[in-house]
Amino acid sequence: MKKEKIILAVIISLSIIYILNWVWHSKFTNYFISEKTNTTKKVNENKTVLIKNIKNLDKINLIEERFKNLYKKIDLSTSIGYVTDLNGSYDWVTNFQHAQYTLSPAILDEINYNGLIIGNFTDINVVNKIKKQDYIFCKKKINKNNNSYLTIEDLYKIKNQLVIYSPKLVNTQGYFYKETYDCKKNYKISILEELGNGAVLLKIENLD
Amino acid sequence: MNFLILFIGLFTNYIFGCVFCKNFFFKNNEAALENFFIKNFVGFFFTSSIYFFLLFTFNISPLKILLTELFFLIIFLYFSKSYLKIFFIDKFRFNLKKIRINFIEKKIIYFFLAIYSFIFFFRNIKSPHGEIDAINHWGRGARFLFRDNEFWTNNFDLRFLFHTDYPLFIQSTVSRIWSLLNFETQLVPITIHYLFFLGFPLIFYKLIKKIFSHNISLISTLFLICFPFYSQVAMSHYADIQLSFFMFLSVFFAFNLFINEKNNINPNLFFFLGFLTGITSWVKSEGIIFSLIVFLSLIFVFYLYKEKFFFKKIFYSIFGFFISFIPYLTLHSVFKTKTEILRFQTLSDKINFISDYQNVLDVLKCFFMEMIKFNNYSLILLISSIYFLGFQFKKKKHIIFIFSILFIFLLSYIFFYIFLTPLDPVFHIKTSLNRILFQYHPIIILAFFSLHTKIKKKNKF
Repeated sequence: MKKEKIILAVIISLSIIYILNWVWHSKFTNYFISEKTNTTKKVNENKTVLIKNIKNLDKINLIEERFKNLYKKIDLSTSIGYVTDLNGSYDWVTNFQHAQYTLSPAILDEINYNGLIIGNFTDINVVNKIKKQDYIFCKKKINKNNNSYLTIEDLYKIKNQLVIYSPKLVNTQGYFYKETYDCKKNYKISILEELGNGAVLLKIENLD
Repeated sequence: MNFLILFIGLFTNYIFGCVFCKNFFFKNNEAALENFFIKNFVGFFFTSSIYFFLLFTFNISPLKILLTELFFLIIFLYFSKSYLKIFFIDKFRFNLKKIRINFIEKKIIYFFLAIYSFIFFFRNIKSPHGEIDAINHWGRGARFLFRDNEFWTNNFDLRFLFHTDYPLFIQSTVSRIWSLLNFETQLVPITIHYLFFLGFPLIFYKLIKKIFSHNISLISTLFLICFPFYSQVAMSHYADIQLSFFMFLSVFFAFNLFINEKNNINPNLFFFLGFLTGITSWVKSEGIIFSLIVFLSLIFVFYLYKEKFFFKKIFYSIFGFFISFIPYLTLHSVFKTKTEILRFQTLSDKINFISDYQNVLDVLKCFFMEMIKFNNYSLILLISSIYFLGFQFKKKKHIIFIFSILFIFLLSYIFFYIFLTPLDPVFHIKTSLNRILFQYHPIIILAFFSLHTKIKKKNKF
């Protein structure tokens, strides 16, 4: 009986520690802590409205807002293309998955598509930049030993210009190859519909 | 009108559960609330399977769903009354007056559940769609099934990233309720996950209390719910709680069968056991491995004790399993969805990997290091395993059975990580083992306490 009471006390105290630890490390608590510090305030001022939204909201809520009811307007029998300006590989994958979730039962396919392409951008000035043709269009290549393509680090250096990626999902057997990009200027991108908040329907033509 | 249809649909769901598992876990008016949960959860299996088969006819309407379910219910009742004695229905009245919840007895459990419920709802206001895996597998699947009936098969044309080979228990259940309501709302998946999150500890407590003392049941339930990972899984809308629930239910049923020799005589009960085990395969793919583990353990125990009606019992349990395995089998045979493991397997890569013994050692090291982490509750498993290996070996059928499950579980997952996984094994272990251990966690708790405590009373089915 005594043993059981001791075990009970240990479990309860341990679990309380876990809960407190969890609450302390939660985004909710950290939000209030970070709001108080001046350094983070300065950083926040420099960020765009959209990035603020992404930080405050769950990403999926934002993408839900962007593509709400779009699936009703599109042809579900063929797959739809997907481009983005996100260049971090994990970020683009989660954004792609969120977009697929929102647009279900349409099929998003970044390689095989007919005509229609979804643009899911974090840069809210995307429409103006595309209209001014102030963009670079890049396709991802998975290649172990090829130096003719640009690396992700090269692309990070490009400032004030929109980099549109058509990333290619390749099964890498769990091993990470160096990501390289084939960037071409002979692609014409035209806007079919503005959905707001960095979301657009596009058409991409190869001028070759 | 929509809500009336929904009410009828939920009632049908409950009746399915009543017909199937009446009196097996709790007797009439004993633990009414837990009884209500258990029957609804089992009912979800039947209604989600029927909904899945209905999808093949396209143009689904609420009336079509209800009429089909009624049709199957009548057939089910007819067969259960006439041929199989294990299925019977006398009174399935849910008497609200007789729900007696002893708040003093369970106040600690309610205290923790209240805290977690608060965090659950807060988290779900912020992230009503759940975490990325839930969005990818369960939420996306439910939308494919519900949104446009004509194109629901698009679900199986997606790229490998979306795990289209996963079974459709959660997706069908959510989509069925959306279809009954005739609109899509995130409240449905949130409520389903909350019901499992709340119902499982209560059922767990009552079931353990049936065989062990009150204190043991309380401690074991605290072991289940006290650590944040339990609520994290529920809040993230993962299907691990559902899988864990059905796994525990089938193991508990078998455990109880072995406690009482009188129960053990009736081979029909093994049909029920097989059926319960098969339900796990419709919840998550890991359920298939679990079913194999259960059958191997049954064969081992039967062989060890030279059981009467050996083949009959094994045949009945496998027959039961195959009946509840039909939805999963249909899914895979119709859509030719190969599992992720088979799809990306290249034999030469694997042979190269295994041929270097250092790789295998790294995998084993990572496997056991992950288990030793206290967050994964694996200390209990290790301590219990040491017991099993000979320090306090008790030659009792139920103990041998439950530990053979754990032992085969360990071996099968080591085998899986070394020989089968298409990913980097160390990476795969670090990202998946905690969830797999979580699925077996209630069974581990049951095994642990079965070594230390005496059985209170023998329950006869």
